[in-house]
Amino acid sequence: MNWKSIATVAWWEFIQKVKTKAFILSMILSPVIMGVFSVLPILLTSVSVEEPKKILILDKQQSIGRLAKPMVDSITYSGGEKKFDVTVKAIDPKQQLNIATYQQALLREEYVGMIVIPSNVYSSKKMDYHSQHVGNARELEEITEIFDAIIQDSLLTFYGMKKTAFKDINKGINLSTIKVQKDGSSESGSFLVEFASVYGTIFIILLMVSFSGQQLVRSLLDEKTNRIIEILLSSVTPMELMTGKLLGLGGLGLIQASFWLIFAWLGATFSQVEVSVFASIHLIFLYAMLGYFLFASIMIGLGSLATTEQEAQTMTGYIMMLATVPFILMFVIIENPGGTISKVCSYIPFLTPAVMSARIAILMPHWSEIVLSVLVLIASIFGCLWISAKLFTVGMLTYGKRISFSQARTIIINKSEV
Amino acid sequence: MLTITDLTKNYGTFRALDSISFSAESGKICGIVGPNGAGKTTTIRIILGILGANGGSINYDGKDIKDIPRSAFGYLPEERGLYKQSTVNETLLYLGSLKTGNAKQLKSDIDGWLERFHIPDYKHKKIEELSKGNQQKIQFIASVLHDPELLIIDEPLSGLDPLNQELFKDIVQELKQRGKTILFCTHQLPIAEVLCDTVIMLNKGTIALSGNMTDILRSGSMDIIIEFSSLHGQALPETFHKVSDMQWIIPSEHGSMQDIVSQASTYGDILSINPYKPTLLSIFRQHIEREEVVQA
Repeated sequence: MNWKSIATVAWWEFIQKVKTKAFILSMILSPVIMGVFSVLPILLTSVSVEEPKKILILDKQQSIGRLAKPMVDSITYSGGEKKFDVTVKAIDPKQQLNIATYQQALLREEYVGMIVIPSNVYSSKKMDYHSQHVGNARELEEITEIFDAIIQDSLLTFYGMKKTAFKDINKGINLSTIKVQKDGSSESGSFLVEFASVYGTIFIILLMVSFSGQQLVRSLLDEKTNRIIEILLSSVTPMELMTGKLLGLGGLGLIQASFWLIFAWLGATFSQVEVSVFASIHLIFLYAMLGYFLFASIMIGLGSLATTEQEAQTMTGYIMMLATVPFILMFVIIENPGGTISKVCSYIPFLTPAVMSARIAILMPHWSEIVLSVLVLIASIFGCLWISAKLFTVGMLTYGKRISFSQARTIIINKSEV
Repeated sequence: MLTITDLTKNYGTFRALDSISFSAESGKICGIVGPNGAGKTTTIRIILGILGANGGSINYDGKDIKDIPRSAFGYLPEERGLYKQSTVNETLLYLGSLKTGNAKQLKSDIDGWLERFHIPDYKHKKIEELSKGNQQKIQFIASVLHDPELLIIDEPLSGLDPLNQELFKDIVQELKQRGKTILFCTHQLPIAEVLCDTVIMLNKGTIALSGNMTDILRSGSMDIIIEFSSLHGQALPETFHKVSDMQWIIPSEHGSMQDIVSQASTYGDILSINPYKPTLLSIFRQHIEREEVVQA
């Protein structure tokens, strides 16, 4: 292999893509979009441009509804807008409640929701909520908390207990999590930080594979379509060309990943959150790069067989589906990073980069596991490259004709052009 | 000198090249001609190492072609294509750098070649801004920029206006004068006739005819072309080659001029008799037809 030729191809691929608007936009916009998707739902539920929701309380207990009304009415959005407008109707406990009549009012949208307080609410601790939709869990929780507080206060008075004593008794234990590092140091940790670390790490690997992989396939298709591939293959070997492309676009991914990690580090620093993953960033980078090389080495072989942009996108899509599998495993890894499932998945090449990165972010695996998983990845990359190199020359020189699966198999096994 | 011996190539069960042998000397232009599917592109791709062969050998100056660095080759493919979004300078620097490591020399050579093709002002223009003819010039420059010993040019003149065709021809001649081995692939036989010193005619993966261009053109020069004013309706012999309904070429094997005239007059009234000056196209056609007759 001529490394000078490889470097020339790599530099060309890198410099041609790095100055495109698509690259700059994706680098800046990806974390912004990710951030927006994380924050937007919370923002949307905390602000309102609508009228307060009308709630009807049918109170067979006769007093709780009256006590709850001012408290529920005082619940506001973060902007200060009133959330609820409560109407209380005391119902004679001896009278049979015709619930269907009130449900008709809900269907006529006179009220958004209706709370029915039974006369035995103190003993049963049960109330009903009727509505056309019951998906507003957060709002229901806010209302429930108010009723809880009223009933608790009444029961405390009934039992002759002091509120302060009850609060003291009822106070839960605050379990502080302290992460003990292998170097003997320790730091405070939380599930949220662990989750964010794992999610962020897997997400960055996925974005890197996605963007650089797509660029790779597009670059192949362009060179195949405009036939410049013939000039390139008369200058360098297929393996040199493939390696150059992988390295060049890998560099592109590395810049992207670095930018996003700096972004994440700044975010963590400003919010004063200690994220242990930054201490092992070199290993995360190693797995991210190896992950990219693995997926890209498959994409380069399959991409060379594509004859249209649509075909290329379909092929890339299938490979991207493999890259998203670690998201399914995320909770298993967080719960038990050293468990059997996590360990087995660490040696399945398509999962290794994300699973090992996630494990490193939570609990540093033994060095032997790191070495072994890296070796598995490197061997898999060379295996995929070997197969891709066989497909590459034939695929890139076959114009306007689709190579079937059986033909591709013949090329791989028999090393002959079809 | 490029020497090809018994070169064979199969695509699955299809034999694209069937044991072809020929050589191309340094300082000469060797034309490779033939109809579509004759095996020209496959031959070129094997010479350049893009495809592997199933049999035979290729040597350049006595060495196996696989031992010759790729920088010794220059290639202008028939299918034109460049990086449309890149500038002329970027493209030439990249393609040149793949062949040679001397960046300083490369930069100065780019300027020299752009001057030679009368397009120095286009150096920093994007390829997509150039006309088709100028893009073709850039692709030609890319094939010769690193000063290759063996230059393979496939249809270099197609799509060019007459002035640019002349410019390309002059440059190819200059490269020949500088001792380069040039393989010139074309369908345009009149151009090959003028430009090439030797010619290889490929047909269905075999060499239909090869040799020195002058000798090949001279080979049919003893033939006679006869124009009839009217025909008697009798079928003319298969050995007579039809040019048009009234014009026929009679090969010299049919005897002396007197014998030929005597034979021809039995088929019609003769209007004119002239010595036939064959073209590469007519010779090519004769060979292809002859092969088809033999195969039938």
